Amino acid sequence: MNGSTRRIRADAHGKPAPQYFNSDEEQYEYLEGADGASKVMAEEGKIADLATLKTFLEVLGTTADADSLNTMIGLLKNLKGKDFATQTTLEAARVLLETISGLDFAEETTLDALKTVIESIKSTDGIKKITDALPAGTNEIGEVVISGDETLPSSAPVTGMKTLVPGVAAEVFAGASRKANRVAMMIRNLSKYSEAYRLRFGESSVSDTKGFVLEPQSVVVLEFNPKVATPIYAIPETNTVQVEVYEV
Amino acid sequence: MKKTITAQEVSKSSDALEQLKRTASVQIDFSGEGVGLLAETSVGGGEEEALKYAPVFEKDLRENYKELFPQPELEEPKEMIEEVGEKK
Repeated sequence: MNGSTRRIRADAHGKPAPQYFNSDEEQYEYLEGADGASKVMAEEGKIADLATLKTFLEVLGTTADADSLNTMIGLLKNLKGKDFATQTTLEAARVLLETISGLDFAEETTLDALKTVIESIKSTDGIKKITDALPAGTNEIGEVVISGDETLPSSAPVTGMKTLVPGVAAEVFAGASRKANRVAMMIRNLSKYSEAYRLRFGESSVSDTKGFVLEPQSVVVLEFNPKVATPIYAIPETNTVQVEVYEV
Repeated sequence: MKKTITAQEVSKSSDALEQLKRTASVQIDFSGEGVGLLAETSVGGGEEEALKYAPVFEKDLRENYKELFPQPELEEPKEMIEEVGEKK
C-alpha cells in the first residue's frame, strides 16, 4: 500500500505538517529531528558509493587477503605464548643479579689473601720454599745441591787401634763403641808383609774361612747409611792381628 | 772396673741362620777406677767368645784412651853415692 490511499498528518491549524510515509505501518508519520535538523536514514549501500570510501576499501582488500591475514593471525598467536619481561622473567633476572653481587671479584680482600699466600712461600732471598714432597714421576731433576746432606760427615772423626784374636769375630770400630750415625769407616790391617796375617770382615758370622779378606797393610773403606746402625765384624785367619780404624 | 757380658739368647729350635748370626755384647765400665769411660762392643757367637774377647777389648781401650787413665809414676833413679874415699 502506498501513501496515496492514506490521509496526511496536519498541524494544530489543520495545515499539512512535515511528515513521511511509513510503509511498514502504512501511514504517514510526523518528521522528527534534533539540533536543527530532521532525522535522515540512508538505505544500505547508498553511502558506500562515496569515492574516497571506495578507494580505501579497494586498498584494504589488496593487502588483507586471506593468506596474509592467516599469517598475521599465526604470528599473533605465537607472540601471545611468549613471556616478555613479565614478573616471572624479571624475578629470575633479579635472583641472578643478587647471586653475582655476592661474589668477590678480585677485590681488595681477595688480593690481600693472594699476597699472604705468595709471601708465605717466598723466602727473603727470593727462593721458593717447598714444603711438600716432590711428586713421584719420571721427570728428570737436574743438579741439586742439598744442604745438611746426611751422607756427609757431621761430627769429628774417631781413630783407634783394635786387636783381633783368632776364634772371635769382634765388632770393629775406633772408639769405645760404634760411632753413632757414622757414614764411613776405614780399616787398615797392620800386619807386616813379612808376617802376612790376613783377616776377614763382614757380618757377625764371619770366620777364619768366611768373610771378605783384608791383606796385610791393606785398607778398606766402608760407607754406611747414617740412619741405620750397621755393625761390622772382623776375625784373623791365623794369628792375632791389630787393625787401625778411622770412623767418621 | 766392671765387665758385663750379655749373650743373645737363641732357642735350640730357632732357625739355623739365626743361630749363626747370634751375638754377645761386652760392656766395660771404668767408673770404678775413677775414669768416666763406658765401652761396649759385640762379638759373633755367645758368652764363650765374649769372655775370650773381653780382656782384649779392655786392653785396647786402655791403650786408645791412655790419657784418661792415671799413669804410674816413674821412680826417679837414685843418685849414685860417690864413694870417693873408698876409691882413694
